[in-house]
Parts: sequence; C-alpha cells; structure tokens
Amino acid sequence: MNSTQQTLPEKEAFNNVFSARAQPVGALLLIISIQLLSHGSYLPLWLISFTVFVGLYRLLAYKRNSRPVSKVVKTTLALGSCAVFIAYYRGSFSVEMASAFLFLTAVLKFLEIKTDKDLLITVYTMLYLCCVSFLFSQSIVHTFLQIALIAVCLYVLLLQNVGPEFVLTSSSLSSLSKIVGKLLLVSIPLVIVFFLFFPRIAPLWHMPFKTQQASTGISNAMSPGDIAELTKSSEIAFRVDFSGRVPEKSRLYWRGLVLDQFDGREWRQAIEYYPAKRYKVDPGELYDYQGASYQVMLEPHHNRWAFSLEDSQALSSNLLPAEMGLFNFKTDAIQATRYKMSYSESIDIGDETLPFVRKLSKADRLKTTPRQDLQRPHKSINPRTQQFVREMKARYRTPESLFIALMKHFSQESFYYTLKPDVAGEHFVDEFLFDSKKGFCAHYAGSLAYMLRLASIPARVVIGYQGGELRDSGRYLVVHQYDAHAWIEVFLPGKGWHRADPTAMVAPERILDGGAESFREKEGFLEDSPFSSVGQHLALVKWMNQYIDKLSYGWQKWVVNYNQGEHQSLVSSLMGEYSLVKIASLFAYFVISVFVAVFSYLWLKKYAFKYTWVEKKYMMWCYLLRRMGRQREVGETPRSYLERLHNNIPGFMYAVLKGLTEELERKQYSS
Amino acid sequence: MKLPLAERIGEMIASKGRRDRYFKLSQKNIYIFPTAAGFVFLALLLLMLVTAINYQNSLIYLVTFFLGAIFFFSIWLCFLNISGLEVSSGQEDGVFEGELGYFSVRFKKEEGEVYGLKAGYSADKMSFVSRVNSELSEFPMPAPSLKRGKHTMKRLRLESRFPFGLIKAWTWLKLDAELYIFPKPVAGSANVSEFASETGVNSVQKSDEFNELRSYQAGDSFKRINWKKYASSEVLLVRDADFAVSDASRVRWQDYEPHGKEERLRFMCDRICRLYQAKQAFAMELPVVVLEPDLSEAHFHECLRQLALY
Repeated sequence: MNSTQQTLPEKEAFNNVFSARAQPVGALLLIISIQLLSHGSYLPLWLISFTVFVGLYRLLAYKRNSRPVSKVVKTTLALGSCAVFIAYYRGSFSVEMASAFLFLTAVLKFLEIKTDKDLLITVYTMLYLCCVSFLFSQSIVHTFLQIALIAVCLYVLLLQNVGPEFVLTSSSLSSLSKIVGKLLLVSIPLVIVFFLFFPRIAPLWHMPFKTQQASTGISNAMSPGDIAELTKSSEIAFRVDFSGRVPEKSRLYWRGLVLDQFDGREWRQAIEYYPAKRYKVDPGELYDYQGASYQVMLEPHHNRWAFSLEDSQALSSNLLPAEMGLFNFKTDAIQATRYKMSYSESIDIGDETLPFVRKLSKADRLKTTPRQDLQRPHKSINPRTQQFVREMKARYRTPESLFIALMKHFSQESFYYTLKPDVAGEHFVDEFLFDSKKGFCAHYAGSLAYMLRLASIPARVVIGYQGGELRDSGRYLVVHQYDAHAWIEVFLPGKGWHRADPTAMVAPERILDGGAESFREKEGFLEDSPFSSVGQHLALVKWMNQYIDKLSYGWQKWVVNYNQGEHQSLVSSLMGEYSLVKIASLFAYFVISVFVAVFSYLWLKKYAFKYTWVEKKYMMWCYLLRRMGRQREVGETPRSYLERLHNNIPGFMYAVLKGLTEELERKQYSS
Repeated sequence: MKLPLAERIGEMIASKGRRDRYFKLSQKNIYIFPTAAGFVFLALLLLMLVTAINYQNSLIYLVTFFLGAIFFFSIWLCFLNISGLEVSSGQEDGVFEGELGYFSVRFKKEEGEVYGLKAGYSADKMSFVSRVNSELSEFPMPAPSLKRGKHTMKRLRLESRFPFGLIKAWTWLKLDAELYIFPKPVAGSANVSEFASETGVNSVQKSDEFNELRSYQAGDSFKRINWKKYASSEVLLVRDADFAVSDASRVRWQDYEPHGKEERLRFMCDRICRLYQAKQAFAMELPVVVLEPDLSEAHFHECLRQLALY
C-alpha cells in the first residue's frame, strides 16, 4: 500500500507556479517611463539613453524569456555608469545631481531585479523620486502623472502579495483593482484633512538648493539682443493679485535688477547683492497690511531676485530688502513662490512735459558706492557718442535740461522700434545712435544710460517687466515673458532718483497697450510659441487658455502655496486661537471618527438586507410606473402586475418590464 | 533566529490557546503588525515629510499624506482579508512509515476571497495556499516527522500580507488534526506456523509476489494505486488480492518472538495488510489490546492505528 505520492504532483505544480511568478516587467517599465518623462527636463542625455537602453533590454529579455543579466555585465554597467556620473557632475552638488543619482540607482536595480527585495528597493526609490520631482514641477498635470505613478507602484506591490493564482489570471485582477480603487477613494478625505490640518512647521535645516536648471526670464546681464529674445516666449513670468484698484499699465514697472556696469556692449551687475547668510527655505508668511498691497505668484525662475513695483515694501517673510529698493528671496525661487508687497497709489510725476518719468523715493544705494552709477567703459569705445554728448552738454547746461534733451532726441530723430535689431560691432552705441537707429528697449535704455554717464549724470539700467494682461474680469494680472523690458533710472541733483523710459519716446504704444498688443504685427514676436500666436485669433482657444490659466493660478494659490500662514488662519477661523494642542485634539477626534465610521459601515453591511441588481432595477421601474399613475397594488405579484399593465403602457416599456419580471422570477424560484 | 517581539508575543499567547478542530478567525485570534517592508515604508514616509518640511513643498506633503493614508487603510484591508476565515481539520487515513504524510487543513470564507494566504509551521517557512473562498478547499500540510506513531499537527501559522506587503496579519492555531504513521510492512515469518499449515497458505512470501495488479476501477482506494507503475506506464493499476483465506487468522505479538519491537510491528503490519487484501477475517493481539476477528475496513484501520500507537 503506497499512498505517498497522492498529493505530491499537485504540490509540485503549485511550487512551480510560485517560482515562475511573472515579474511585473510591464508595470515597472511604465513606472520608469513616467519618471523619465517627469525628470527628463534636467537629466543628462547619457542617463536618458542609458535608461531607454536598460528598459528595452529588460523588455527583450522578458519577451524572449532569456536568462538574467550576467554578473560581469551587471558590474561593468554599474561601475561604468557611476564613473560617467562622477565625471559628468564632477563633485558639484545640487538637487539635480542628487535626484539623478537616485534615478541611476533605481535604473540599475531594475536591471538586476531578481528577488522581492530588489523589487521593493526599486519601487521605494521610485516613490521617493516621485517626491523629488515636485521640486522641479508643481503643475496639475505633473501631479496627476505622479499619482498615476503611485497607483502603478501600488499595483506592483499588490502583485507581490496576493498569491500566485491571482497573478496568473487577469479576471481575478479586476476584483483586486476594485478593492484598491476603493482604498484610494477612501483615502481622499483623509488626505484632504491631513493636508489642511497637519501643522506646517518651519524648515528644520538648510537643504542643498543650488540647481543647475537654466533660469528662465531675464538674466543678470543684458547684451543688446537679450530682451528681444524673450518676446519669442509666451510663458508666464508671474501673476499678481492687487488688494485694490489695479494701477494703470503705464505705472506697472516691475523692477527686477539694476545693471550698473557697462563694458561698451553689455550691461551687468557690478556686484551680486545677495546676502552672504545661507537661509532655510522660507514658508513665505504674509503680513497683514491695511493699505494698498499686491501679492505676486512667481513662476520658478531659479534665481534670487523678486519683482516689485517702484517704492514697494516687503510684506512677506521670504523677502529680503536689497540695494536700491530691490528685493531678493532668501533662497532661489525653484518652486512657485508667493510674496506680498505694499505700494503707494499716489502719482508723482517728475516733469509734466515728459511722460513715463517718475520720481522714486526708495532707489538710493545703501552700502555700495554711488560712484558706480558714473562708471563708463574705456575712452576709445564709441567716439561718436562721446562727441555727441560733449556737444549736447555744451548746449544744455543743467543736468535736468540735458537729460530731457537726450530723452527727446529719441523722439525727434527717426528711431525705429524693432524686435529684430541688427547685430552690431565694436562701437555698438555709435552704430545704433547714428547709423541703424533701429533697436529694442535694451538699445534705448543702454545707450541713454551710457550718454547720461558720459555727461556725468548718475544713471543705470533697470530690467524687469512692464505691464501685464488682466485676466478673469480684471481680478488678476498676468505678466508674460514677452513683457520683459529695460529702462533707466537717473539721478537729478536736488530732485533725487527718477525712472525714465526712453522706449516710450520711440514707441509709446509699448507702454500704453502692453507688449502683446504692440508686438502683434512685428516680426519675431512669439516665434517660439507658434500655438499661442495661432490661438490669439480663435475665441474658443483664447477662452480655453484663459480658463486653464485660471485653473493653474488657483492650483498655485490654494494647493502649491498652501503653507503655514493659510494653515494657521484656517485653523483659527474654525477653532479660535491657533494652538498645537487644538490641532492634536482635532486629529484625535478625526482618527476616532474614521474608526467609528469604518466599523459601523462594516457592521451595517453585515446585517443590512441586500437587494440584488435585478431587484433594484425592478424597484426602479416600479417607482417610474407609479409616477406614471400605474401603481403596483399591495400584494400583487410581478406576473399579475405585468399582465394588468399589458395594454396600459407603451410597448417598449412593457417589453423591458417583461424581461425584468422573467429574470426576477427565474432568480426567485430557481434556487 | 530570534523572532521579533510582536511575533514572540503572538506565539506566547497562541501556545496557551486551546486545541480545536475548528477555528474562525476574528479580532480574537488575529495579530496584526507592520512587516519589515512596512517599517522601511514608514521610514520612507518620514524622509518624505522631512523633505516636504525643509523644501516647504506642499505637493510633497500631499504625496506623503496620500501614501500615509494608504498605509493606514491597508491595515484594515489586511485584517478584513483574513478575518472570517474558517479553518478546520480534515480526515486523513494515515500513511506507512517512510512515506510522506500530510495533515489535511480545510479553508473556507463565507464572504469574499482570501488573498495571499500563506500557511506554515514557522514564520520563515510559509507557502501560499491556493484559492480560498466560499467553497471549502483542502490544503495538505506536510507532516514533519516520519516516525511511527500518532502525530498531532504542530501549531499552524497562517499569514497574509495583502494588500501591499506593508502589514502582515497572522494567527497561530492549534488545529486538532491527527495523522497516524503505521509501521512499514515488512514480510517476515511467524514462529508458530499453525495457521499457515492449517490453511495451507504460505504466509512467508516475498512482498513483490504478494501483489497482483489489476486495472483501476471507480471506487478503488487511491492508496492501492501503484504510483510507481503509473509514473512509468501512465496506466492506473491497483493492487488486488491474489488469494482468499476463509479461516479466521490471528496475528499475534508473541508469534514474532525473537525480533525487536519495531521489527515485530512491521511483520504484523505486513501480515494484516495481506489478510485484509485477501478479504480474510483476522484478529490482532498486542500485549495491550486484543482485536476480535473481522474483515471490515474500519477493523483494518483500527488494527493499523493500534500498531502505530503501540
């Protein structure tokens, strides 16, 4: 009698199934592709191609069911890619480098996944990379992409833990995805409560922040063609909410940087006026202010400077006052940053005869030497300009009259405003002023400041943005990259610093109508954004653009920039004064109520009477018929009800009801 | 290997539990605790939270809370998955020494399905149990010992890491499943050959000759199938009795006098098997028990059990 092998064959087959458990290569490839898409903007090209290579390799190996990568190949690839990595970054530490390294490790791990542990490492690394990706982008689309990534990661984890038979059949997976879908839905309220009420604390320590990401928008140096380049882009620079009336367009000079060093061709900053101290990321607390103020939501430009209207004062904690009435952030603006400022609504025009000139009260230098505003390049450059200024100075004796004369020179002579100025040679100012007479704002501002300095009048170039477009029925202002502008500030003895805009002398429509309107017909405008320029003509596209912009502004305001301040004001509006004890008790109540809710739901579900789908459908029809006045009598069976209705209701309804009745009878009496 | 604290506490409580033929899993006997992967996940969440705080990034907060909520609710899912699971012991006839024996464990869950259920005797040696739902399914748990005797199943550990492997829910059950391991039948000669001479049947035969094979018919016991033959020829053959003995036979302990205890039992077992297969009524005498002549299957099994127990 031999009963040994009765159960063995079954058992062996079972073990085989277990060991042959398919690795979720498809899902992992999806995860890697999503991350490649989200991180691709800063990853070096070699790493991107390496990832694609590894992905394809794994896919082919999986399709052909070939053996895993040999140890030698694996080690070579790992050491090789690490060597390339070190050579590429050469010890410069940045956020990109750190996350590129994480990415590389995840890809290498993916290459050699064999055990559940390997898989876990890959998935966890990918989840952390998901967090890191939000340092580079905070858009709605990106957020949804990352949530999809989390869902796929959970799916992979699920496959590891449901047992082999569910992995092998796709039908059982649908019931599983239902469970997981329910789980995700249930988590949403919990996530919202935590997001709103979890205390937002100040940063614990300083984080590496220098990113290598190419900054967008204006830079701290201005060559003749620079700002004209920006008119090709319809990207948004920042959005502004005003507490009161939005000032006129001609007053919206958003100062960004002062360029006070001129080498004959390029204007740049003499010193970078950043504080030496290393700051933690500031949560950007907004201070209360009774007077007129505005809040700027800056798109990340990866630099320190903040844009402000003239004579503004900082009203948020993330700003630091800098030289000459400018402001800097405490750390590079690598994410959408909100700040608040006050401004004066009074209009103070220095000279009635000259529009676009305004007296400034907070533009003085504090620490640096005022002589910087008289710096000029070597004498041998631009001889004709020097001669011209000497002549003008002889005619106009006071600095003020000389300044007015030089401004008027631009409107009196036949200067032409163009987005595509000629490329100039060594004596660039000479060529512009006396030969071509074609230029963009940078040419007018740069040459005027130069001429003023030649006449020993302190002057400097300011770059930033001018104007903006009102959106959402004037509720907020959008400033685009094509609104980039350069103008000058001049010191008139006894009167102080003044803003002056020579471009306005040549093309006043640029200031009065804004960049978009005045450039529309000009060659080169929005060259890099063909879609948006097409869209300008279609009402639907325009409306959609506006709607999308409103949505993403709302997202930035209420989600991306939901921070300490908002958190505290929300809590105190609900519960009076803000305190951590209150928050803690709120969380305790919440967790208890979630427990109670879930358990009572389960309890009710256990004892609740359940209707089948057919019964539910039948009852819906009964309700419908009752509304039609064909009520089912008490105690009437479905069959007799159907017979009674035979000629009283439309044919198609009868047919449906007949089908339902039959199905109901079958279900009721079959078992 | 030293077990983690949560495991040790679970084991301690379980070791005091009662032994039973039927268990239903509920909050009374389910232990639930994060796995190692779960703790790493929590550490990852902490890292994410610190990243969110230090970069003041709301969306990283959002992701952290999202994953935290998933962790939180997967505790429930994990518990509900194995809660309501009914475990009972099935019937096993027993096997001969040297064969692999299995305890029969039956699973059932009234509502829904149990995902990723694993069973084993210790935390580090668990294997997946296939499909457990509202239909009774049987799972063979290998018996660890091959020695003759009556074996009760060691404490059974059931575990599930559904849904994401972050949380494990497990239980220790003292399931009242029994397995008899009978002495290995070995042909041997009895000292007193009176029955043999009376009946004219030579009881000392080589065990190979003892078996005659006929083809399988519905109703034949699986235990009589010659699996070796099946493996080589793929034809199901059943051992059949090749002779009939009409007289009552007595298989007695004292008849195998000079041999040792185990050997005697083996000879007796062999003798009983032959007599039973020959559809002959037989009696068995052990120093502790005497079983009166009979030819029913119940009697045969009782004899085997007594041999296993002695």
